[in-house]
Amino acid sequence: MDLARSVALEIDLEAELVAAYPLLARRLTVVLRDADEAQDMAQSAFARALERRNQFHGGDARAWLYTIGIRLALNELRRRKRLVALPDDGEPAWAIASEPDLWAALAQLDPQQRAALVLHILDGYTHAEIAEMLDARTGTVSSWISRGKERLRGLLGDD
Amino acid sequence: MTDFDARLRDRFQRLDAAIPEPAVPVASQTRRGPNRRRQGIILVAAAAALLAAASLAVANQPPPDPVVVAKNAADEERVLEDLGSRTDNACLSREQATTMGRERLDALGLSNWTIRVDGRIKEARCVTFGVSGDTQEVLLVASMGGDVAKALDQIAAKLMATCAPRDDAVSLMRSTLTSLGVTDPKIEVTGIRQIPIENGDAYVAHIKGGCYVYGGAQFDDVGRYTWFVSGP
Repeated sequence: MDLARSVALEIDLEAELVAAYPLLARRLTVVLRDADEAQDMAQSAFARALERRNQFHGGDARAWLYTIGIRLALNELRRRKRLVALPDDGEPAWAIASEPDLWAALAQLDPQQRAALVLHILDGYTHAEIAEMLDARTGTVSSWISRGKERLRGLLGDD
Repeated sequence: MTDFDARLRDRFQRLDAAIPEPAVPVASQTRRGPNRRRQGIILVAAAAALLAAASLAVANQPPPDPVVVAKNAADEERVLEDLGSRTDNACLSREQATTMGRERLDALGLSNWTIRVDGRIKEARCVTFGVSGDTQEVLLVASMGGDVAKALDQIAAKLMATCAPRDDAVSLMRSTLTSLGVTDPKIEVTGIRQIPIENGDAYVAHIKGGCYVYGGAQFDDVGRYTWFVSGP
């Protein structure tokens, strides 16, 4: 019997990962500030999640994929910082056409702050949940979010 | 939430909505090894880990003995080969599978292995075996049935060999499933759900060319299947 076909349990997780994948790619676009790079990173995270599916013990598959993807992205940014700063290729048209000021303001934040903000604002994850995803203390995440918002408030001139 | 928070959320949502839609992930490119049965073991082991309450405590346990791990892996292979060779094309009831599983485990000298029933088989047409050497158990899970699986392989090949319009693809699926005894099969038409391991580019190109193909299947909390037709 073709057990791979017949056993559909794994499809549940895989389907959840497929559903979460575009969301991860969007979040990584904000963190990495590059949609193409974000997609590559999301694909790497997706592949890694499938390889490590036996480490998933149930719960929020999207958060699990986010954890893998955002950690990969932050590690990549740290590695890159150690090597050489890449030149800015300019702002993407889609960002200019939608929220250019916010996009520009987000560039002034640390990647961890961007990650914490998008996870909190767009996905509604709590500070504690984000702390677990980013392997940081809850207080640190609270600080990232609080300071990130204040920075954005100043940069956006929104009182 | 302050007014600023609300405005900031709105702006984030507008920015998010403008981000280009990413391509579909290549779902299966990382699966290891050519042996589909072996892949099945891996998948089942993962599923068992997902379902077993005991597995939740694994992270707190010391590393397993490599000798035990190796024996479990070898036993897992033996069980899979044994059960697989006896259930080809079968559609086993829960009772039939339980009896067969116990008999075969005993015959293989694995009386200490247990048979566990996944809670999601209440209305399953058939059940099949998942084998997990790590937890020394055979898991009974919902199955579409070997006969249906084989027929769907043929349908998948046929729909890739021709360019079927939506209604034809759905009709082919429905008539095939019905002829095999599946009552009122639930068939949904979707976009690309997953890209197969082999000929993934051709699969995507076929769909982008306006053709409808077999898009996989999934069972729900009581073991009822939904079959998918994927199209543009």
